Amino acid sequence: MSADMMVIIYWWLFTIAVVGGAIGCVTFRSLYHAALSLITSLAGVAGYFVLLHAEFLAMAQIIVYVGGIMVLIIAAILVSQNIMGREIKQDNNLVWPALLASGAWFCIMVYANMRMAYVFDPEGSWLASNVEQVGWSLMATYTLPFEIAGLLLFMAMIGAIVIARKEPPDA
Amino acid sequence: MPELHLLVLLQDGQAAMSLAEVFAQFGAFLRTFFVEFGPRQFFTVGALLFCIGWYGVLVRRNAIAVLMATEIMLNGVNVIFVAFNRWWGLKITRAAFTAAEQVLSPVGQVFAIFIIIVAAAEAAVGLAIIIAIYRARRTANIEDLNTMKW
Repeated sequence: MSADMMVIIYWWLFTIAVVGGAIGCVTFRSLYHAALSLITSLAGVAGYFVLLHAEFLAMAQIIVYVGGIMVLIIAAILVSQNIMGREIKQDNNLVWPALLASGAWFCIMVYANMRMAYVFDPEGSWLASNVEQVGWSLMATYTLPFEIAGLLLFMAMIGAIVIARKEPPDA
Repeated sequence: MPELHLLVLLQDGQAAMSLAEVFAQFGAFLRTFFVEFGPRQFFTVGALLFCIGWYGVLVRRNAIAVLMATEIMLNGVNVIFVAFNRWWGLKITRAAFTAAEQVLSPVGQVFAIFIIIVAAAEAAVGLAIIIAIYRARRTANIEDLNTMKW
Protein backbone atom coordinates (compact mmCIF):
# COMPACT_ATOMS: atom_id res chain seq x y z
CA MET A 1 0.00 0.00 0.00
CA SER A 2 1.47 3.29 -1.05
CA ALA A 3 1.97 6.23 1.25
CA ASP A 4 -0.59 8.30 -0.66
CA MET A 5 -3.21 5.64 -0.08
CA MET A 6 -2.40 5.62 3.63
CA VAL A 7 -2.80 9.39 3.76
CA ILE A 8 -6.22 9.17 2.12
CA ILE A 9 -7.34 6.42 4.50
CA TYR A 10 -6.25 8.46 7.52
CA TRP A 11 -7.93 11.49 6.01
CA TRP A 12 -11.23 9.62 5.89
CA LEU A 13 -10.85 8.35 9.45
CA PHE A 14 -10.23 11.89 10.71
CA THR A 15 -13.10 13.20 8.59
CA ILE A 16 -15.52 10.73 10.16
CA ALA A 17 -14.35 11.83 13.63
CA VAL A 18 -14.51 15.54 12.84
CA VAL A 19 -17.88 15.65 11.09
CA GLY A 20 -19.53 13.07 13.33
CA GLY A 21 -18.29 14.81 16.45
CA ALA A 22 -19.48 18.19 15.22
CA ILE A 23 -22.94 16.87 14.33
CA GLY A 24 -23.16 15.15 17.72
CA CYS A 25 -22.13 18.38 19.45
CA VAL A 26 -25.03 20.34 17.96
CA THR A 27 -27.64 17.59 18.28
CA PHE A 28 -27.05 15.72 21.55
CA ARG A 29 -29.59 16.56 24.17
CA SER A 30 -27.31 16.07 27.16
CA LEU A 31 -24.80 18.92 27.33
CA TYR A 32 -22.16 16.64 28.80
CA HIS A 33 -22.41 14.25 25.84
CA ALA A 34 -22.25 17.21 23.47
CA ALA A 35 -19.01 18.36 25.12
CA LEU A 36 -17.48 14.87 24.83
CA SER A 37 -18.52 14.76 21.18
CA LEU A 38 -16.85 18.13 20.62
CA ILE A 39 -13.63 16.69 22.05
CA THR A 40 -13.75 13.99 19.35
CA SER A 41 -14.18 16.64 16.70
CA LEU A 42 -11.30 18.80 17.96
CA ALA A 43 -8.96 15.80 18.20
CA GLY A 44 -9.81 14.93 14.60
CA VAL A 45 -8.89 18.46 13.54
CA ALA A 46 -5.54 17.93 15.27
CA GLY A 47 -5.14 14.82 13.09
CA TYR A 48 -5.82 16.96 10.02
CA PHE A 49 -3.01 19.27 11.11
CA VAL A 50 -0.61 16.34 11.33
CA LEU A 51 -1.57 15.26 7.80
CA LEU A 52 -0.98 18.83 6.61
CA HIS A 53 2.56 18.98 8.08
CA ALA A 54 1.51 21.48 10.73
CA GLU A 55 2.82 19.62 13.77
CA PHE A 56 3.11 22.66 15.99
CA LEU A 57 -0.53 23.50 15.38
CA ALA A 58 -1.57 19.91 16.05
CA MET A 59 0.09 20.03 19.47
CA ALA A 60 -1.34 23.50 20.17
CA GLN A 61 -4.79 22.26 19.18
CA ILE A 62 -4.64 19.35 21.60
CA ILE A 63 -3.15 21.39 24.46
CA VAL A 64 -5.32 24.48 24.10
CA TYR A 65 -8.62 22.97 22.99
CA VAL A 66 -8.79 19.47 24.45
CA GLY A 67 -6.70 20.30 27.49
CA GLY A 68 -7.87 23.83 28.20
CA ILE A 69 -11.10 24.97 26.64
CA MET A 70 -12.89 21.63 26.94
CA VAL A 71 -11.97 21.25 30.61
CA LEU A 72 -13.28 24.76 31.17
CA ILE A 73 -16.53 23.99 29.34
CA ILE A 74 -17.11 20.73 31.21
CA ALA A 75 -16.39 22.49 34.51
CA ALA A 76 -18.93 25.17 33.61
CA ILE A 77 -21.49 22.48 32.73
CA LEU A 78 -20.92 20.76 36.05
CA VAL A 79 -21.19 24.02 38.00
CA SER A 80 -24.53 24.88 36.49
CA GLN A 81 -26.20 21.62 37.24
CA ASN A 82 -29.86 22.02 36.46
CA ILE A 83 -29.17 22.71 32.78
CA MET A 84 -27.71 19.25 32.32
CA GLY A 85 -30.98 17.41 32.55
CA ARG A 86 -31.86 15.17 29.66
CA GLU A 87 -35.53 16.05 29.87
CA ILE A 88 -34.96 19.73 29.13
CA LYS A 89 -35.59 20.62 25.50
CA GLN A 90 -32.33 21.90 24.05
CA ASP A 91 -33.48 23.18 20.67
CA ASN A 92 -35.65 26.17 19.91
CA ASN A 93 -38.27 26.28 17.15
CA LEU A 94 -35.81 27.30 14.46
CA VAL A 95 -34.59 23.81 13.49
CA TRP A 96 -35.91 23.78 9.93
CA PRO A 97 -35.06 27.42 9.04
CA ALA A 98 -31.59 26.92 10.51
CA LEU A 99 -31.10 23.70 8.53
CA LEU A 100 -32.22 25.52 5.39
CA ALA A 101 -29.90 28.49 5.98
CA SER A 102 -26.79 26.50 6.82
CA GLY A 103 -27.49 23.93 4.08
CA ALA A 104 -27.91 26.67 1.49
CA TRP A 105 -24.66 28.29 2.58
CA PHE A 106 -22.91 24.93 2.35
CA CYS A 107 -24.25 24.42 -1.19
CA ILE A 108 -22.89 27.84 -2.18
CA MET A 109 -19.48 26.96 -0.74
CA VAL A 110 -19.38 23.59 -2.53
CA TYR A 111 -20.39 25.28 -5.79
CA ALA A 112 -17.60 27.84 -5.44
CA ASN A 113 -15.15 25.08 -4.52
CA MET A 114 -16.17 23.14 -7.64
CA ARG A 115 -15.90 26.11 -10.00
CA MET A 116 -12.58 27.37 -8.72
CA ALA A 117 -9.28 26.45 -10.28
CA TYR A 118 -6.72 26.34 -7.52
CA VAL A 119 -3.41 27.68 -8.76
CA PHE A 120 -0.95 26.05 -6.44
CA ASP A 121 2.71 25.30 -6.78
CA PRO A 122 3.06 21.53 -6.22
CA GLU A 123 6.81 21.79 -5.77
CA GLY A 124 6.47 24.62 -3.30
CA SER A 125 4.22 22.88 -0.82
CA TRP A 126 5.24 21.72 2.61
CA LEU A 127 6.66 18.21 2.51
CA ALA A 128 8.26 18.07 5.94
CA SER A 129 7.84 19.44 9.43
CA ASN A 130 8.00 23.21 9.68
CA VAL A 131 7.99 24.01 13.37
CA GLU A 132 11.18 26.01 12.89
CA GLN A 133 9.62 28.29 10.27
CA VAL A 134 6.55 28.86 12.43
CA GLY A 135 8.80 29.83 15.32
CA TRP A 136 10.75 32.20 13.12
CA SER A 137 7.56 33.82 11.90
CA LEU A 138 6.17 34.29 15.39
CA MET A 139 9.39 35.66 16.82
CA ALA A 140 10.68 37.72 13.89
CA THR A 141 8.00 38.70 11.40
CA TYR A 142 4.91 38.79 13.59
CA THR A 143 6.42 39.83 16.91
CA LEU A 144 4.03 42.70 17.56
CA PRO A 145 0.83 40.70 16.96
CA PHE A 146 2.30 37.96 19.15
CA GLU A 147 2.87 40.41 22.01
CA ILE A 148 -0.61 41.85 21.55
CA ALA A 149 -2.05 38.32 21.69
CA GLY A 150 -0.29 37.80 25.01
CA LEU A 151 -1.76 41.06 26.29
CA LEU A 152 -5.20 39.92 25.10
CA LEU A 153 -4.90 36.64 26.99
CA PHE A 154 -3.80 38.51 30.10
CA MET A 155 -6.77 40.87 29.89
CA ALA A 156 -9.13 37.94 29.26
CA MET A 157 -7.79 36.14 32.32
CA ILE A 158 -8.27 39.15 34.58
CA GLY A 159 -11.69 39.83 33.11
CA ALA A 160 -12.83 36.25 33.60
CA ILE A 161 -11.70 36.27 37.22
CA VAL A 162 -13.41 39.59 37.95
CA ILE A 163 -16.66 38.59 36.25
CA ALA A 164 -16.96 35.10 37.68
CA ARG A 165 -15.78 35.61 41.26
CA LYS A 166 -18.15 35.56 44.17
CA GLU A 167 -18.81 38.90 45.79
CA PRO A 168 -17.22 39.12 49.25
CA PRO A 169 -19.87 38.95 51.99
CA ASP A 170 -19.17 42.40 53.41
CA ALA A 171 -19.40 44.20 50.10
CA MET B 1 10.72 40.38 -4.08
CA PRO B 2 9.20 36.92 -4.50
CA GLU B 3 6.67 36.31 -7.17
CA LEU B 4 3.22 36.17 -5.66
CA HIS B 5 1.23 33.11 -6.60
CA LEU B 6 -2.44 33.75 -6.95
CA LEU B 7 -4.25 31.46 -4.59
CA VAL B 8 -7.56 31.14 -6.37
CA LEU B 9 -8.68 32.05 -9.85
CA LEU B 10 -12.13 31.81 -11.32
CA GLN B 11 -12.10 29.08 -13.91
CA ASP B 12 -13.83 31.07 -16.62
CA GLY B 13 -15.28 34.50 -16.98
CA GLN B 14 -18.22 33.25 -18.97
CA ALA B 15 -21.89 33.51 -18.23
CA ALA B 16 -23.48 31.17 -15.72
CA MET B 17 -23.77 27.52 -16.69
CA SER B 18 -27.06 25.80 -17.19
CA LEU B 19 -28.28 23.59 -14.40
CA ALA B 20 -27.54 20.40 -16.37
CA GLU B 21 -23.95 21.50 -16.86
CA VAL B 22 -23.65 22.30 -13.18
CA PHE B 23 -24.83 18.81 -12.24
CA ALA B 24 -22.50 17.21 -14.79
CA GLN B 25 -19.56 19.12 -13.37
CA PHE B 26 -20.66 18.20 -9.86
CA GLY B 27 -20.64 14.52 -10.84
CA ALA B 28 -17.07 14.80 -12.10
CA PHE B 29 -16.16 16.68 -8.93
CA LEU B 30 -17.62 13.92 -6.77
CA ARG B 31 -15.82 11.14 -8.66
CA THR B 32 -12.41 12.66 -7.97
CA PHE B 33 -13.36 13.89 -4.52
CA PHE B 34 -13.11 10.56 -2.70
CA VAL B 35 -9.75 9.44 -4.03
CA GLU B 36 -7.74 12.64 -3.78
CA PHE B 37 -5.97 14.49 -1.00
CA GLY B 38 -5.91 18.17 -1.77
CA PRO B 39 -7.21 21.63 -0.95
CA ARG B 40 -10.68 20.92 -2.34
CA GLN B 41 -11.31 18.19 0.21
CA PHE B 42 -10.21 20.37 3.11
CA PHE B 43 -12.19 23.32 1.81
CA THR B 44 -15.31 21.16 1.73
CA VAL B 45 -14.79 19.83 5.25
CA GLY B 46 -14.03 23.31 6.57
CA ALA B 47 -17.20 24.69 5.00
CA LEU B 48 -19.18 21.77 6.42
CA LEU B 49 -17.79 22.42 9.91
CA PHE B 50 -18.65 26.11 9.61
CA CYS B 51 -22.21 25.30 8.56
CA ILE B 52 -22.70 22.73 11.36
CA GLY B 53 -21.48 25.30 13.87
CA TRP B 54 -23.77 27.92 12.42
CA TYR B 55 -26.72 25.54 12.72
CA GLY B 56 -25.78 24.97 16.36
CA VAL B 57 -25.56 28.71 17.07
CA LEU B 58 -29.00 29.27 15.55
CA VAL B 59 -30.74 26.30 17.16
CA ARG B 60 -29.35 25.70 20.64
CA ARG B 61 -31.07 27.26 23.62
CA ASN B 62 -28.28 26.81 26.14
CA ALA B 63 -25.55 29.44 26.22
CA ILE B 64 -22.77 26.89 26.79
CA ALA B 65 -23.95 24.87 23.78
CA VAL B 66 -23.88 28.03 21.66
CA LEU B 67 -20.31 28.64 22.81
CA MET B 68 -19.34 25.09 21.78
CA ALA B 69 -20.93 25.60 18.36
CA THR B 70 -18.85 28.76 17.98
CA GLU B 71 -15.72 26.71 18.61
CA ILE B 72 -16.77 24.38 15.77
CA MET B 73 -17.08 27.36 13.41
CA LEU B 74 -13.62 28.64 14.37
CA ASN B 75 -12.16 25.18 13.76
CA GLY B 76 -13.66 25.03 10.28
CA VAL B 77 -11.89 28.28 9.41
CA ASN B 78 -8.64 26.97 10.90
CA VAL B 79 -8.75 23.83 8.76
CA ILE B 80 -9.07 25.92 5.58
CA PHE B 81 -6.25 28.27 6.60
CA VAL B 82 -3.77 25.48 7.29
CA ALA B 83 -4.76 23.45 4.22
CA PHE B 84 -4.29 26.39 1.85
CA ASN B 85 -0.97 27.20 3.48
CA ARG B 86 0.14 23.60 2.87
CA TRP B 87 -0.23 23.90 -0.90
CA TRP B 88 0.35 27.62 -1.32
CA GLY B 89 4.03 27.59 -2.26
CA LEU B 90 4.77 31.23 -1.42
CA LYS B 91 8.46 31.78 -0.76
CA ILE B 92 9.70 34.44 1.62
CA THR B 93 13.18 35.62 2.43
CA ARG B 94 14.37 34.88 5.93
CA ALA B 95 17.39 36.89 6.97
CA ALA B 96 19.35 36.11 10.11
CA PHE B 97 22.49 38.09 10.94
CA THR B 98 24.62 37.45 7.86
CA ALA B 99 22.78 34.71 5.97
CA ALA B 100 19.58 34.93 3.99
CA GLU B 101 17.61 32.04 2.59
CA GLN B 102 14.37 31.41 0.78
CA VAL B 103 11.84 29.44 2.79
CA LEU B 104 8.18 28.59 2.37
CA SER B 105 5.85 30.99 4.11
CA PRO B 106 3.96 29.58 7.12
CA VAL B 107 1.63 32.60 7.34
CA GLY B 108 -1.53 30.49 7.26
CA GLN B 109 -0.38 28.53 10.29
CA VAL B 110 0.49 31.75 12.11
CA PHE B 111 -3.00 33.04 11.39
CA ALA B 112 -4.47 29.79 12.73
CA ILE B 113 -2.41 30.20 15.92
CA PHE B 114 -3.87 33.66 16.46
CA ILE B 115 -7.37 32.28 15.88
CA ILE B 116 -6.73 29.65 18.57
CA ILE B 117 -5.50 32.36 20.97
CA VAL B 118 -8.58 34.51 20.40
CA ALA B 119 -10.81 31.42 20.78
CA ALA B 120 -9.21 30.66 24.15
CA ALA B 121 -9.76 34.24 25.37
CA GLU B 122 -13.33 34.18 24.10
CA ALA B 123 -14.10 30.86 25.80
CA ALA B 124 -12.69 32.08 29.14
CA VAL B 125 -14.61 35.35 29.20
CA GLY B 126 -17.76 33.80 27.73
CA LEU B 127 -17.89 31.02 30.32
CA ALA B 128 -17.25 33.55 33.09
CA ILE B 129 -20.20 35.61 31.86
CA ILE B 130 -22.39 32.50 31.66
CA ILE B 131 -21.46 31.47 35.21
CA ALA B 132 -22.16 34.99 36.51
CA ILE B 133 -25.54 35.00 34.78
CA TYR B 134 -26.29 31.54 36.15
CA ARG B 135 -25.52 32.73 39.66
CA ALA B 136 -27.80 35.73 39.35
CA ARG B 137 -30.69 34.21 37.40
CA ARG B 138 -30.39 30.42 37.98
CA THR B 139 -30.59 29.79 34.25
CA ALA B 140 -28.33 29.61 31.22
CA ASN B 141 -31.17 29.60 28.72
CA ILE B 142 -30.73 32.33 26.15
CA GLU B 143 -34.45 32.80 25.69
CA ASP B 144 -34.84 33.76 29.36
CA LEU B 145 -32.19 36.48 29.12
CA ASN B 146 -34.33 39.07 27.38
CA THR B 147 -33.95 42.03 29.71
CA MET B 148 -32.04 44.04 27.12
CA LYS B 149 -34.05 42.78 24.16
CA TRP B 150 -35.77 45.50 22.21
